[in-house]
Amino acid sequence: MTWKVTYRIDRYRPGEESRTDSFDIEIEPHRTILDGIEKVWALHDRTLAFRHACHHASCGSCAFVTNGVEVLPCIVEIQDVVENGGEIHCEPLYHFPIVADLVVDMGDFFDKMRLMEMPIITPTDPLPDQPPGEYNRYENCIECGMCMSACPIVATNPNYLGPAPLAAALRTIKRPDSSPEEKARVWELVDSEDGLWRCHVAMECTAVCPSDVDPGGKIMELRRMATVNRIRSLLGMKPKHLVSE
Amino acid sequence: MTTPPTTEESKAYPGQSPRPRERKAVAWINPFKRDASYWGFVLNRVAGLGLVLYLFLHMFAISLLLRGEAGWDAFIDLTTSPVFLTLDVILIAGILGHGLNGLRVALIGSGVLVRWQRQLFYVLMTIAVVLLVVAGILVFTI
Repeated sequence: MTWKVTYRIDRYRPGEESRTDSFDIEIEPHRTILDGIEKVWALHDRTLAFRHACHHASCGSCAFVTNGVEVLPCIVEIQDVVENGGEIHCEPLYHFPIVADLVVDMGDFFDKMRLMEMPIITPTDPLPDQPPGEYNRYENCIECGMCMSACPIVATNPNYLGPAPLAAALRTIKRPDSSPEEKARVWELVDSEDGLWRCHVAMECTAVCPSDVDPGGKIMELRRMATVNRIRSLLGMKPKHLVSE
Repeated sequence: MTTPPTTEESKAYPGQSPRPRERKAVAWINPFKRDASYWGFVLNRVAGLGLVLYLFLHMFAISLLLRGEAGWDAFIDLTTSPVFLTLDVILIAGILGHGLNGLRVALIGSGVLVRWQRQLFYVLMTIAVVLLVVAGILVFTI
């Protein structure tokens, strides 16, 4: 059984007016939103720009806004978003500069992640078919940028570090093998005007996160740590979780 | 404040589009299809702006005392009209919403009940509605 679904896709090319194009496709309801986008690209418009790679919520590259909410379209089924005959409005992630169509520039976001020592490259035991010395990353955050798109503070303040980088900061601060210098450097960034105190607790980052990173909860934990550190400082004690550990 | 550096790579697309201002504003304040806590975020902004506006109106009302007894009595007569009483109820709604949601934000911002912040929002807003109904009845009956 196939459904008839209309994809309304926001289009943009440098130097051109942005517009919204509509494409009617027939597709099985259990297919993903990304399957539909690929069908639009394959059968209707080969100039459609979109990003994708793994198709299983691992790479985080395909994220965009669907019907007003950030989704990872490779894991969200069409039947979870619309009825037969319905419309799927696809927009690029909010609060990022648009490169073309559904592709946004993640550069500044990745810079902030790098500042927080993400991505963390962790040495692991090699899998049987891997040569010794291979490295894998075992982190929940897939750096899809959905939390940044959903955050109302990122909308108004580009200097705000944002949910994912702050969650990454907590990870770095809590890692037993982070050096005291690393922790202190990250903490200086985090405990600042545009760091954890800029969050206004909309918690939408946690609501849209496809990897259960809970960035909002992580920011609140950082705040609790900052408050404890303030009190310890008043009592003449060293800050907890940082250079003292 | 340390500002994150920007890499050359992120500036590599000369034609990239900044978001139109109106789209930014909509993305900031639009709670539709968002989680309950986002509604709380919007509630606090709207109620906060309303309360600031009320503060100025209140100071204006107090300043009527400078016009003497006649001016003040005329204003007091106005405050008993149904329209004014309705505005009183809206004011109470703003105070309850902003105050109770602010309490929630202060709690979870201190690391308390973070995991149950959504449920906390529902509970506090239910309390707000109950108190608002009671206050509304009192405003129109006393």
